[in-house]
Amino acid sequence: MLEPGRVCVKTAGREAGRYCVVLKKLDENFVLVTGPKSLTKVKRRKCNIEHLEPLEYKLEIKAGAEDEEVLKAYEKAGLIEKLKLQPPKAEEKPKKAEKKAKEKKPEKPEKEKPKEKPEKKTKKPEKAEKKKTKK
Amino acid sequence: MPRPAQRSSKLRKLRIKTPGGRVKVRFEKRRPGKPKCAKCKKPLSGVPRMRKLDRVPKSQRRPERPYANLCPTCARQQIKEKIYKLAG
Ligand SMILES: [Zn+2]
Repeated sequence: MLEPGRVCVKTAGREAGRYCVVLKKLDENFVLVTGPKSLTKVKRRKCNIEHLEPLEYKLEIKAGAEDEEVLKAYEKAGLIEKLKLQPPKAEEKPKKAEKKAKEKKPEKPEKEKPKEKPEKKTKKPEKAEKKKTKK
Repeated sequence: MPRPAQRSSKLRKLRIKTPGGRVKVRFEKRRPGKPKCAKCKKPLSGVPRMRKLDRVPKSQRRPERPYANLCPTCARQQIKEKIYKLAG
């Protein structure tokens, strides 16, 4: 039942209620499992058989496959839409866009600052003069 | 003698050793009942039994999984039922 590629739901612990894929059998009671984390937030980890609820779906992967291969298998089987999962690419793209925006932003103010500075310089001495007059 | 209000049994009595070695009685409000599973009414483990729960970190107030108001066996049942509903 719990062969490599079987899609399961975890029923115990902090990851309870999340989908995962069996990668290989480790022992009588334990299997290696992954979400992968970028897709379903289940870490690549050892898991007790009794804490898994197998589903009807199965992915075509080798035993002990890597997370990227599992992701591709998910897409091939069309399970991301079926299980209503959020594909990780949608999460990564805005992050990169933000980083680029952050990199660009500091450049722009540097160019704008020199324009502003002379204005400030003209203002500051006025204030200083006022203070001097007050004193 | 304690105050008459402190002599009633609605207060909980704690025996506390002072730094000088004497034993003093401290009066406190009683602890709330044990939190129970919403489905089978079994007492929940891993939940502190005290007033002012807001002084405890949130991760120590309840289990860190969905259905924190259910015991582990009922939570597992609930998750399975949800899966089968989705599968149809
Ligand atoms: Zn219960």
